[in-house]
Amino acid sequence: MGKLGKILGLAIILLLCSGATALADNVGPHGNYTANTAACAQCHRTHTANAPNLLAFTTSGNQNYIYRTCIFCHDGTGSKYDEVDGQILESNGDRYPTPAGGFQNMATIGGPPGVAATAPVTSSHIVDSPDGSGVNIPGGSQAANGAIELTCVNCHDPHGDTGNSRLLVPVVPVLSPDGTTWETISTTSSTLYTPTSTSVTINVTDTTTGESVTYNSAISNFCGACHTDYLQTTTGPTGVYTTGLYRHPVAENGYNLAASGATGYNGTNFALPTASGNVTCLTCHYAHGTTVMVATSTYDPPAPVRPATLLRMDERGVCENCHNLSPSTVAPVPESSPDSYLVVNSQQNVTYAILTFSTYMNSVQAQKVSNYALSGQSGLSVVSASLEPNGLMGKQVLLQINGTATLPLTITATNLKDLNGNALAAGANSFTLSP
Amino acid sequence: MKARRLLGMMASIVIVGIVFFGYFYFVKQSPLAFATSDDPANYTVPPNFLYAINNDPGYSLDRPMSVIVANDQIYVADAGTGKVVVFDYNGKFEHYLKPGKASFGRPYGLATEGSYVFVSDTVTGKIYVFDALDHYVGLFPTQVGVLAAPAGITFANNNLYVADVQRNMVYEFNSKGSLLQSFGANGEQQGQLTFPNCVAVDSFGKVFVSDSGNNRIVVYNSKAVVIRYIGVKSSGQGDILTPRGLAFDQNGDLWVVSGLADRIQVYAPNGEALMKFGVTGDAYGQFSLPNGIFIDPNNRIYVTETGNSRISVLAR
Repeated sequence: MGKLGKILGLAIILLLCSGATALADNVGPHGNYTANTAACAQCHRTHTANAPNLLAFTTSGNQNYIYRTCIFCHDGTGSKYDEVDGQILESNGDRYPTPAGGFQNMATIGGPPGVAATAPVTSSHIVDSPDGSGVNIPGGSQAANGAIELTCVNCHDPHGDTGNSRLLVPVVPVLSPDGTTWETISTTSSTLYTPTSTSVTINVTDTTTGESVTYNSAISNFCGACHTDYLQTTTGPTGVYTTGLYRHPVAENGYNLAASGATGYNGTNFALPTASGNVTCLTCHYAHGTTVMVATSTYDPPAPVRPATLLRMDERGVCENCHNLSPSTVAPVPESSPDSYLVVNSQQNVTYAILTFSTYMNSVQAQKVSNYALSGQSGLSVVSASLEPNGLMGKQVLLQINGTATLPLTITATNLKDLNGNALAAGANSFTLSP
Repeated sequence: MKARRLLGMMASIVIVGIVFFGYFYFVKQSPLAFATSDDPANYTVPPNFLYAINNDPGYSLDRPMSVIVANDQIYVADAGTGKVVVFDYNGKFEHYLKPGKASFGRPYGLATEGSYVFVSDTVTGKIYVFDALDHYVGLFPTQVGVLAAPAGITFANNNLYVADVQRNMVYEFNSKGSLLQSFGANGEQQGQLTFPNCVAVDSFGKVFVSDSGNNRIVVYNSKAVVIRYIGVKSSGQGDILTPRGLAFDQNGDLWVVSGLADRIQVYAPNGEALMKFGVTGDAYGQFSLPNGIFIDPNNRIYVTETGNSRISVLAR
């Protein structure tokens, strides 16, 4: 990779590491510099810089310094957003999953210390390669296969002037296939259709208990800047780089689920995130990484080493969540220890139960406190029930129980159904839990 | 007879020479540096590069956060691999610390008291204790839920000080794990902290905290009252950028790692700037995203580099 390229890339990235507390619904320390110009000096020197763009840093050697620079703070030691392990660190001690997933690990359960849990990712965008080798673009330029330098700055602009609070860039910089120059791929134009939006717009809510992100517009177009051939409004056959192939439709502002007439679609059991009912790339895929397990690949050659391909559900669960052509009639069952377990905090007189089911559960019933009964122990009461969104993606429920449970504790769940509408079988609906 | 005496003298000279230079070879110190480094208060010349502990096929370093010397060994908390790597005093790999049947998450801080070694972990939120033989003793018994992401730790006056980078607080525990007091609060105002990565205590009991997000060192007295800031621009002391590791030298002066500046800055206890050095790069003697620092009794300075994934050892 050219030194100039590294420097230019780094020019875009460095303020990602500004140490001030990042806020969820704005660009945090990466913008509004007129109000806090001290942040400039995190990365720049006016008269004594070491690199172009008045950077205090130079880049050299065999490390991906852009990624290294970002995670200098974004490993949780300088930002609440720990992108390495996919968790948001709140100053009250709680940890929650990041909406995009993580690059090495990923929070699967959110909550206080001892309760929050992470798991290793099974696939992720490769943003830490020293030289970009081995990185290719599914649905993108095949000539560029193996020569793409992908780092944080391809998608995020540290200066924050992107119009969205995830700092998503309007133009994606990509190293040329010969590795000598940076090229740009516009997210606002395409060889295949004319977009109507100019930049990704999002809403962020629940800013103190993890975060919920809703993508309003242009997110599929953003992904499609690189994954060009996969950005289709019809099933095909289409394609620029891989021609004549049939594609699942997504579109700039998403592909409308209700209007699409998706075979077997049942909105009441739909668990994946949409943009106002529209299917986007992020409906089925995480942006950073995933922990789901996928045994085989349906991906065009060359098959990826890690076939999970950032999916949100195990195997092809995302397919059946819309196209439920042959709904399973198998009743969900409680998974015993160690998949389900208790965390007892006698000092604070609170108990947490992590209940793991064999399949994806319907959140409406799973999050009703009244659906859980504690047997044999007085003084205990369930005060909250949360279907954990990441990692096992809707297979785990976190119960907060007031009081100190005596072990073992038996919890019976009633009225719970999975995404196919199958109820827990009577007589097979209780968990006997130990730590 | 004369010839024998001459031979004897020559043999003596050779033996003395072997012992003399052998010592310096063994401790990897230049005799010249030894001869010229007798003034710890000399801040006109930066320390010399001595050697580096690099990544190696026999072990792995990825984002080493901190380093200490204890029990004649070098301990490195390596966040990327989730391991604590032990080297001999010359930087030769020895073994890993193993916390019983469990595993570390992201080990960050290291401290020593007596011959015990303490390891903090920002992911598990725990502090692990090992004995002089590197056997796992158990967890430091803090109350459940006090610590969230313990980063830099240090022992002083039989008490353990912990910088919690998630809670934005510094905690002082006695040796039995009871919380004695806390320093700071989340924010950028007087005495508040934003991502405090490291804590150091001087011989008078004053507590120095690297307030990374606020680009300053906050100095508290032993009663948690702010008495000084170091490195803030308005003081004319030179700016600190994202201060991380802290260490006191034998002269009682404070060495600060300016992480994003790839620089090390030295301050007198009163905040007077004495020296700064370090340039960006991956050549020996240069730094990339340094984080931790430790100064041993032989005046060796150990710097962990998260960018170059190595330990640079300097000597004065």
